[in-house]
Amino acid sequence: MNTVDTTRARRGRMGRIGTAAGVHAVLLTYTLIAIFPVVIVVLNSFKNRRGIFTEPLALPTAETFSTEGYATVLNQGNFLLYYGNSLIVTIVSLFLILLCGAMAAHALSEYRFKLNTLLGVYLILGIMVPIRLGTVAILQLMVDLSLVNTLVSLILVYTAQGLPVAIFILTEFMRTLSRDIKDCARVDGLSEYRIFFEVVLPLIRPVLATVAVFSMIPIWNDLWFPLILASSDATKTVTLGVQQFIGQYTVNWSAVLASLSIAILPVLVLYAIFSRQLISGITAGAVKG
Amino acid sequence: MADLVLQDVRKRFGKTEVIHGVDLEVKDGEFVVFVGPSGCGKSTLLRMIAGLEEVSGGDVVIGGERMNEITPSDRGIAMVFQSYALYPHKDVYGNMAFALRHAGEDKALIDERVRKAADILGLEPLLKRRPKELSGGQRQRVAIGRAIVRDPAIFLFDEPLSNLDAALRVQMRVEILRLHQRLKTTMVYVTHDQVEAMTLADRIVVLRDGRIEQVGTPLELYHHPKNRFVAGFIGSPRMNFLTATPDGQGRVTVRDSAPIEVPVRDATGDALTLGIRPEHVELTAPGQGTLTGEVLVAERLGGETFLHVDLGDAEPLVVKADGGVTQKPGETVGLRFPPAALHLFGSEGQAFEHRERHGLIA
Repeated sequence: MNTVDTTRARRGRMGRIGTAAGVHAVLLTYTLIAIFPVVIVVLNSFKNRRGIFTEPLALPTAETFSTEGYATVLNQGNFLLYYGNSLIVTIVSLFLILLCGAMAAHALSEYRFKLNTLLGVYLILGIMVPIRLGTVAILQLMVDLSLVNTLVSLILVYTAQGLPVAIFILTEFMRTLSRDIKDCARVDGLSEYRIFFEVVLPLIRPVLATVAVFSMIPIWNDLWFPLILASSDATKTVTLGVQQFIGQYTVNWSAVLASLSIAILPVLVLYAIFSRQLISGITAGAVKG
Repeated sequence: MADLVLQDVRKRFGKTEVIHGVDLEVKDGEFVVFVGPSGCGKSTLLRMIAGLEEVSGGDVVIGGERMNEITPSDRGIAMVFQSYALYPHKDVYGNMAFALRHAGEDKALIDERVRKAADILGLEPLLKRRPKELSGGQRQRVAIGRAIVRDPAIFLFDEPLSNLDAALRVQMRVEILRLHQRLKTTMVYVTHDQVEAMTLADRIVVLRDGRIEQVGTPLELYHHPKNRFVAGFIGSPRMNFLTATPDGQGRVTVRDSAPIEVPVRDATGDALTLGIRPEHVELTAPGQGTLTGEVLVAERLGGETFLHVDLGDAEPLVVKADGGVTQKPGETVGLRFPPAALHLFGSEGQAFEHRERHGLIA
């Protein structure tokens, strides 16, 4: 009896360790695959041209180490401007996405009105339709509005692009908020706007962080719309600015990799700040089922 | 301080009417409890008084003023919610001061009111804590404190004790009662728990399916229910109902019993129901009482025993007997029905009026 139990227990424990090891092996493999290109980019950004081409996978050695790429990027003057453009576009778009998205989600989840469901479906329909399909129309519109080669055009497009997912996630989450607390604020005399800003917003902070990260990355990384809508020198973003190092016949790989490495930074910083809230936001039942 | 009047109040959601014309007067300083099964509209009615639900028809009048279109904060009410509804990002002090701060009151006045409310509820040591650092009972106390701070004319409670465990519920019930004695403010309280209703209320309003079934003091409802629903809802365990046949001479027979004289007026009809509360049935030797039956289950609570006696009906008759009774399952017992404790209901469920009012009811 006793021995049977212990062997079974041991087998059970072994099995659990085995499962855990298997899970972690899969996760580790995936992590390696995901990080590999980033590591290669960063490593090679610290090598000279020869180093990059002779041994792309090697660590920088005394012979191949060089910061010439960074020197080129930072000395070419315009790069800081592009960086600033990217930051402005991303931050303003994010702000608008979060503000308008949260307000729309609040309305959809809080108020009973005619066509509520229909409006909700309409607002999140954009998840299924890639915004790039509308590029020609958007370009025409921007030309008509004389917004071509302005950062405003990019901000408008990115806000439109980010809203559907933001509204979808936030609506689902806001439906789970206690109704009593909003009613209580009403009895306390708060206007509907103040209920939103003072009661609802603090409650949805973790989910806002999640939505912020999800929305930010595609905006920061986008090449398509800057190329089409704002390719003038004054309005270029980082991803577009990198292109100046890619010529038809020669490519300044050190500079390209250096600028890409710098471009990764803000995303990393944002993730480091929000990772805890991001995970709690994802697991907080932002999207049910 | 204010009275509250509801005049033919109705509520419709789309085409379905859920409150079908409620008339009610609550006197200044009165503690009124709305009670009823879930879905009876009691919470909706309370939310209409608070102004959180639109009134589809009729008038809500507080302190003589029609309030239908007035916003909740201007009605002079404060509300305590079932889920406490504390602001999680504010500490206890901040929660209690919030409404006054928002109204732009003077800082010293806010501080004085918060401290006074905290003193009444024993919350002083907790003022700097966040809601998540409080127990359920403490949270509910903060929610009540937040209502007190606003110094309302009417307190509204929406099932405030339902989220608490049984022991705490009893304790908070007493606290709310003492609060009412101290503040003497009008209070309207919603619950599905008839014990809460009985212990707290000056008057109870029993609701079913959006209609008032009866309004009265707890003892009125207990001794003189207007219909079978109220009789069954008030009292625990619930009243026993037995099919009764009139014998044509003003008496009724139940199963094989001798004719019973029920002291009610104008009992008419043939499909009658006899009602008797478990605590009023007396145990006798088999064959000596009104009816005889076999004990199915004996629930012994120590101080009292609930005997479930099989009379051949679908539901056994419940007897609330002394804790020391010796009857065991399987034994046969006699049951005596004291006439004064009997209720008689007509085919529509309406109760026939007793010839005499109970001694405790004026």
